[in-house]
Amino acid sequence: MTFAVPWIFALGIAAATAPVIIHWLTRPRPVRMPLSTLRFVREAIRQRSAGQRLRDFIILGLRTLAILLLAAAFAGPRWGERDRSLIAEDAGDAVRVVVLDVSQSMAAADGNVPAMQRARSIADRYLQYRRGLRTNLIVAGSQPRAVFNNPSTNFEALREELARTEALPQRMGVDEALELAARQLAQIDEQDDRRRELIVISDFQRTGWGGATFAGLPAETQIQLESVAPAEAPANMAILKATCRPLGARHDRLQLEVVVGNYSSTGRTATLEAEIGGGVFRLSAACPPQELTTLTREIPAELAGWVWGEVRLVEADDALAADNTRPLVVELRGEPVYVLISREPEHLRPSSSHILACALVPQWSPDSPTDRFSRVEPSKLDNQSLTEADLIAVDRCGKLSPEHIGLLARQLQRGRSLLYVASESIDAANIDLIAQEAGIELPLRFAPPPAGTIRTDLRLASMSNPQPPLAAFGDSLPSVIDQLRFAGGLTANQRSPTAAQLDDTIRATFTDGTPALVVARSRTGGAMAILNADLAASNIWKTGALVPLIEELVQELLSSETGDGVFLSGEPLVARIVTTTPAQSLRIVQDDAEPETGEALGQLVDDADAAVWQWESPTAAGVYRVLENDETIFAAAVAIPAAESDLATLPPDVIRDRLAAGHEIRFTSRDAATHHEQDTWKWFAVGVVLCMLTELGTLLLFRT
Amino acid sequence: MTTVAQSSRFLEMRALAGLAHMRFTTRHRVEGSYSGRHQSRQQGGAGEFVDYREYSGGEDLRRLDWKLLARTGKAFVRLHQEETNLVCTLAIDGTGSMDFAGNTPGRGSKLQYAQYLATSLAYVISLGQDQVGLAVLGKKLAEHLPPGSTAVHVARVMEQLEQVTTEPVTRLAPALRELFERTTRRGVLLLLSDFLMDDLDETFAALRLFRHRGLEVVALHLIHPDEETLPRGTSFRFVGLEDEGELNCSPSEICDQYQQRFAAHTAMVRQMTLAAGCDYRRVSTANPYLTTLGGFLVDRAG
Repeated sequence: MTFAVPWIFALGIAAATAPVIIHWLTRPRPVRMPLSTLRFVREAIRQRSAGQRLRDFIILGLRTLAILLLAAAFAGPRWGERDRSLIAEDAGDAVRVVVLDVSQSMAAADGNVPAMQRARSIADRYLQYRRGLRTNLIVAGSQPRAVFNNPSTNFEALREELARTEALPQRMGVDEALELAARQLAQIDEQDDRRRELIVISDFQRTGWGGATFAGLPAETQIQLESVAPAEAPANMAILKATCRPLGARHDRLQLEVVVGNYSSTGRTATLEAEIGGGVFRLSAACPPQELTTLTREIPAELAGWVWGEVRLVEADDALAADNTRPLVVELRGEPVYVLISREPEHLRPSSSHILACALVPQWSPDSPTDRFSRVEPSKLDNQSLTEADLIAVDRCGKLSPEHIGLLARQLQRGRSLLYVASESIDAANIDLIAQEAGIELPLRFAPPPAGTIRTDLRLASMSNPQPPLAAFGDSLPSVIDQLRFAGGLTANQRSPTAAQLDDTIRATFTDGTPALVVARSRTGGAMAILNADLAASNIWKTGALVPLIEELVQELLSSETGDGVFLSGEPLVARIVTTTPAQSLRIVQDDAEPETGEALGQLVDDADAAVWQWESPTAAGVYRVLENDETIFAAAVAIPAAESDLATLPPDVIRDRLAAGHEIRFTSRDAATHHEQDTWKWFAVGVVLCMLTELGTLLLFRT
Repeated sequence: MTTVAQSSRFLEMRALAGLAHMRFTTRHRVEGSYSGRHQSRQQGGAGEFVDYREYSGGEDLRRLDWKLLARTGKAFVRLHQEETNLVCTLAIDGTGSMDFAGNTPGRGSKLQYAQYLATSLAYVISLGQDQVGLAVLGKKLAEHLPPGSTAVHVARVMEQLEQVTTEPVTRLAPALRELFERTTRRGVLLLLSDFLMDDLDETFAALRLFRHRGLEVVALHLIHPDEETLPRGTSFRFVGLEDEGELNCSPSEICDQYQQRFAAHTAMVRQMTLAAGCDYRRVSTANPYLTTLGGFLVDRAG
């Protein structure tokens, strides 16, 4: 047994002698008196001692025991194997590796003491000098690193490094840490029979340790797991995700979406403050316990280019403060640039290309041209004419030459998007060749309608689960569909009716089964949308549905699948930045901080017509920007992994049984010891009461 | 006598004046040297007629009862008992325990009480023309005055009683045996003792010797009231008066057991005394010695 406060128990031992000392000091001085004979006195004493001496001995013993038990109860007794580490601090050669979890969850505080502080205290105990011991410390973030290349006897240096460790805004690379530990513990040669010891100090978060195993460690390794997490996960609220999605083809609005996690046992109200692009916006919602809640808000986007900011929880009093803010970035493209490839004359109205042009740029007119829209005849189509285009539209272009096919395919491969309005028979061949060369798999193959067939009065089939862009019409979609009549277009040879129905690239079909709208993406991100209809022969442009339809379609085509610009702290950051400026002319800055370049924030290298930003391990959360002559050409939000906000831990039996993989393992948790302490002192108190009752019974038994 | 009364501090003549008419008698037939009022063991001619016996040839014809011969024609001799004097020996226990005076101021020791009682007894015995002797019993027979009846002798007895001192011994039997060897005549042995000796069995064995010789033994068991119970208090260091050392204890814890032990001892002494054929009398030194003496003489008178 050990004691949390041993000096109290020592004081109790001294207190147990107090009655004896007091009795000795205060005992009455005997009065001298002659007696005729001492025989009867001696006999009486002998007669008494047979019973009363036993009584006195029992009473003295019970009282002494009661004092000792009382002192032990106050001294915080700990009993049993749970308070003993598996690691024996005896003499003997041993190799010891201490793995210290420095993930973000280790900054969670239970009371006023962060788990990291407790972890450092425990680790310090295992890094004390002992003869024959070689040890190493692994600081386990997302990319664990060992202080020394091999186990060392430089205990002081290890403790200094330990003193500098703090919780980082990263996850814990459990598998990587265990693999690194296994390499440290590996035998040097066959004669190396030193004892192997692994100490893991962590909060054993469920999200991180759920799939871990100790199977890779050397056999006979003694594993001591020291948990610094409380038995009950502390209440925590966190911003798990914060994104801004441009709305509209012109990106004049942003949809702010924030996911809040309430990891507590009671419902709480989340009040958020989003500071984006100079504006401050507030959101609020009730968050049920143990659930994720999504808050959304539409905010105006006034500027084009990169917009950045952060979202933060207001007045959130929880265990982990680091996850109460989250950075976000978004690139606002602004008004897209359209290039329409068509051989129809510009002045021909109504023509399909004219209708398409009006739908793409409603404010455009021949009298007020805009540099956002240009028409190119197929004969004059070249790479230069497509340089500035965000979206390439094709309508009634005739047969495209192989060069034009290749040109368009390359644009798709580079991530640009293509809207092809298929109204002529030749469009089937064009579409097929473009898709093949761009590497786009279409669920069907377009074909010209059979000779003599006129496609007219085509209606859209009803949809049980509308997809974009038609989903934008919401509940009014059925009434919209009822009004629409299409004509022209192509037929299609489907691979199988069922496959075609299940393929989400087919966004709408006509009632005759032919596709009305197909949207497919290449592996490089470029999207190709095929609108299978003659817009001039259709009435869609008359119903007012074409503009919103085209706007939603264009928004989808121009949206980037490269992500929301969020990178995880501690994980390698690689970003390709489209720019013609040499990398050495660019610089990386952290928002609201002094500009730093060089290795501190990663490095920029040239790559063809772009620059690649490589950062091995972003350290701090926040917004980082790449500047070209003070203009932000790229922004990245480095955030804490969302999984770190769920502070729930794995049960000890799961860790011991499922992760052990045959190793000798012992799990010590803070609250188990505390619980034991809390339990054990009660038994000592019960012992005190029993001593008092036994004393009373003894006195009654001996009739005193 | 007047001389003797003035020389002993243990003889209070005025106090004894009330007992002057009383005499120390014995229930048994005594053997004395002189004619006295005690019944003699010997059968003589001038005493009280007690019986007839057939005449056998050669006997003294003066003892023949002629009237009975004339009446019956048969010859019978008349038998008579003659009254003789008492020979009394006062044996004083001189062991250390007799010095116990208790805790009550003004109350003397058992030895002082014995001295007063023995002196008074010697005086009463001397008033009856009987013989009184003295034996002081210690480690051995410390002092021995054979019984006598002269005034000088009685004065010497009283003088010796004044000078009795105790010895730190716990055995009485050797002194008693020595006294037995010196006792040649039958009579009465008055033993004044607290019977707190270690050799109780040997003591009563010695007393049985006296009984076998035909002496009457009267045991006066002197008990000090402060002996029967322990004093009240929390802590005492009791010192034995017979070289037993010292003992610390708290009387309150052993009071009951002590009383039981002492009472058992007293009862045992009585039983052993009676079993030895001796007379037993419990004497508490809390009672005035004259009261004790008076009661004793009255009981003896029957």
